Amino acid sequence: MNITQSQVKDVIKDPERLQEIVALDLFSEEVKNVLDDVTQKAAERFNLPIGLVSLVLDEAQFWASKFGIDEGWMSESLGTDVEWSFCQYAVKENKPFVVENALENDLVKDSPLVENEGIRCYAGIPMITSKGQTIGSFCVVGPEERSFSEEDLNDLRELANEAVLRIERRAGRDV
Amino acid sequence: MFVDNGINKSTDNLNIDSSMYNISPPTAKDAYNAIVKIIGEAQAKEAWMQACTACRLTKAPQNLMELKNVLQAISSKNTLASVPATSLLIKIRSYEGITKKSA
Repeated sequence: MNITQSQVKDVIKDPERLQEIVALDLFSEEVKNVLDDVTQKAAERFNLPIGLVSLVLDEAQFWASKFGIDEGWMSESLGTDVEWSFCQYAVKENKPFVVENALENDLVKDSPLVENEGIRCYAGIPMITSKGQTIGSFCVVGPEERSFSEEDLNDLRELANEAVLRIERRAGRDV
Repeated sequence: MFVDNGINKSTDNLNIDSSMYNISPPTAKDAYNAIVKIIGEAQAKEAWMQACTACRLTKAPQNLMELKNVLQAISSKNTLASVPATSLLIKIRSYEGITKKSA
């Protein structure tokens, strides 16, 4: 199914989805502490430099945990404009979004993150809470073209589930 | 007055080449409208005015620093308004960051 930018906007600006991010208190700095080892594990599992929990907000993606982005403007900004993000597509489609070569992917090839920051490969799993809301994407990112197998995606899905579980338990939910 | 007075003015006394990716940083009007889209006009106006007051502004933000301060004040409360406010702060920081890197 082809998706359009307007469809993406409808989903990412949904107030109920955004309210879930507030309900889980996901802008708290403490959230990072419960997620950092999971994003690190993801990057190491895939032998890629970056692992992220990216919360997709209405106008930006916010990295609640970022392994491998320790310096430069992206480290300071804690995210980017949502229109530059790969993660918006995992949230909109509510299914894994995989980019083997960003230069050949029409959805992301014009993103400054590709042209300026050199991102080439990406695999992201939508993070769906027990309330059925997709709050963001659990993803790994790299600077070189690569493929992702079904087994890879299953492993990434397990780590994404672990991240969501930790987020909800931290917020006091009995999950 | 916090909303209408000057809100249409661009806050971009910024060192950003907005033509680079066919993008431009949000103005105060953009920011206010983004908050309205998520929480509605009445709540947005209240949150905006409270934030302006907390920042000791007697009129709408006139430059990027004032806008960032207003957005920071809104984002510091764990309410639905904090989502667009945080979004806009990240958006501004990402424009600033990528432009500095490209300069």
